[in-house]
Amino acid sequence: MHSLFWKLFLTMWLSIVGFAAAIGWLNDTLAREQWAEEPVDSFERGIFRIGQRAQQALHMDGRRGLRDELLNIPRMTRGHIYVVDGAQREVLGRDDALRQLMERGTPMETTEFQDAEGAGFTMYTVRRTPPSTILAPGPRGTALRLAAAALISALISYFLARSLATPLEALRKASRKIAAGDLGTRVSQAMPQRHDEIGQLAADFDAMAARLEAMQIANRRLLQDVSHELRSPLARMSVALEIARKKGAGPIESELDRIGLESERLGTLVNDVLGLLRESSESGQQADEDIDLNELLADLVDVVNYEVKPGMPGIAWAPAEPGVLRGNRELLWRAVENLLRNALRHTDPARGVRLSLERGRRKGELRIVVRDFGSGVPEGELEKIFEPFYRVQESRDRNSGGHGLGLSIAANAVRRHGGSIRAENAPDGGLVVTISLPLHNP
Amino acid sequence: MHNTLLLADDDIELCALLKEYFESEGFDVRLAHDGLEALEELRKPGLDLVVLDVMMPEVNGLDVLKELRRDSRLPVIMLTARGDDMDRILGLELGADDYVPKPCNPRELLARIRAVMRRAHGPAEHGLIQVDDLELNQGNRTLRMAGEAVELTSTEFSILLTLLQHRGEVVSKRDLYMSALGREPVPHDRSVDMHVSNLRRKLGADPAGENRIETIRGIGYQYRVA
Repeated sequence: MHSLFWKLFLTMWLSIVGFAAAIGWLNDTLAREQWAEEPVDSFERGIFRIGQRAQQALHMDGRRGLRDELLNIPRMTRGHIYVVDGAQREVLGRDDALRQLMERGTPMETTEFQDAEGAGFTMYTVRRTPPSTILAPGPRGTALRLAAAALISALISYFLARSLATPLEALRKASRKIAAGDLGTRVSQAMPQRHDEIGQLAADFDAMAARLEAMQIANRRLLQDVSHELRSPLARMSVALEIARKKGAGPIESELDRIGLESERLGTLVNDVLGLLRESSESGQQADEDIDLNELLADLVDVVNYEVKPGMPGIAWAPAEPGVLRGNRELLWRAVENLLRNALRHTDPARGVRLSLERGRRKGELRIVVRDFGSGVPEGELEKIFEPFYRVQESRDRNSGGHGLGLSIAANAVRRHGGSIRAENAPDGGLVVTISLPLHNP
Repeated sequence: MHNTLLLADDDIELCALLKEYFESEGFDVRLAHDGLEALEELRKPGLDLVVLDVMMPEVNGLDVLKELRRDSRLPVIMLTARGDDMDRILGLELGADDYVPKPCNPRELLARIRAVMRRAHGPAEHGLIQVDDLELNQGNRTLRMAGEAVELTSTEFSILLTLLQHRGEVVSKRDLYMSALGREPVPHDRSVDMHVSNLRRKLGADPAGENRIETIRGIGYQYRVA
């Protein structure tokens, strides 16, 4: 478990147990000393004196005086003195208590005496008993007390430590999720009853997450609306362009071509932006299906290879590791397709692109590896190529087509399937992009 | 003779431009700007092809298509938002012949219209093709299965025809695109797969209880020889 929990738990528990042990030890020692200081005789002498006073009272005031005298004795001590009359009746009516003492075989001393009229009475005195076993001082009692203290304090410490450590753990997980881009994460529903500082922290955290999410949604909405609105004028423009061409462009033909090309690029850009937005927001709502990765990749290679110039190697692919995955077929398709198209754009056309499906290092993990034979990516930019609109400088200069969205669309789709994507430069040149996908989606 | 198109799209300005463009290419063009207008226009005779935008007010394009397909095999080309795979797949499943992602290049739209039309209304070849319990009439492009008429869209008919003409051989997807849609496959294109899956649904198993159309992975499809 988490270390804060153990720190709190052990600190509290050990200090409570230590405290209990110290108290127990002190108590024990003191009790022993006290016992030793009070000699047995002093108690016996006290009882003896009480007995004598009771006899005198009997003589002077008869049975009533005896009763008063006995009732005057403090309660604790009274239990040590019983007086039985000639009819075998205890004068205070405590026959049952006396009988129990006798049955238990409690050692008692008896004294016979008479009242003024000569009627006989018997006085039973009980010796002081040592403290009872469980509470008795000595190693056994101490061990028992310590065990009880340890158990109770362990329970208390456990719940206290947990009540502090668990919400912190929840907060930590939530902030990680936020950092990973899941802005819908909230924590306070996990601790609804808390109104202390931790509860307030959770509420503040949620407020922060909600604000971030709202800002992100507003940004997306703006981008989406702008992109969407751009489509209609673009569509009209391209029709108008065709009409212009038909009306006889003549000397401006090449300019019209240029306008056509640029508006087509703009159209692709707008569509890719919309696609990216759609995938990262709505994809979670689409139903998952079982996907045979081998089949998907084979179909995909087929489609992409249609567009490779005849005579060029295109994409080399050999079906391999069998793997069925639960997920969204269209998203995965698009993810790998973007990688392949990107690779084809940058590779040495004579050497093509290699695609493979491999078993991952971890159990239940598959990897889709796309390798090209181009010039690779500067080491410092390997992470950034998955950011939207990021393009390596060289690729900007060459205007190789694309606007830096393909890889981020791929990365989004992979993340949606609980996987990861990574790029590295091959030692002998070219870029290797690896998608790792867990077979069993969490 | 001029072919007549119905163009159903809610962008009025775009429709006007497309109308001018298609008219200059020799079509008669009727316009509809929402689903209800489209349904109304579809009831009038004389149409040869419909270009149907999915996103329309009142009744969306998919519902218009569903309504149309109850009793008509009129060729339909859907305009879908690019990247919206659900619309595209649903459209093909509901019996659209082809689709063009928006915003579309008008030349491409024109090419698809011509390709679909050529197959639907082109010079009819004559003759019957009989395979197992199927009877294809190339003259009126109808199919009877065990004597019962089966409604096929024009594109489904073309695909089945091609497969039956090459019975027992694998027909590549590219060939099916060329013969049924008159075009090359494009990125993200699964039109032929959708048409084949519609065909499978409509035809069911063959008399021996086997799948009639087999998928040959990475290549194409094959009509099984009994």
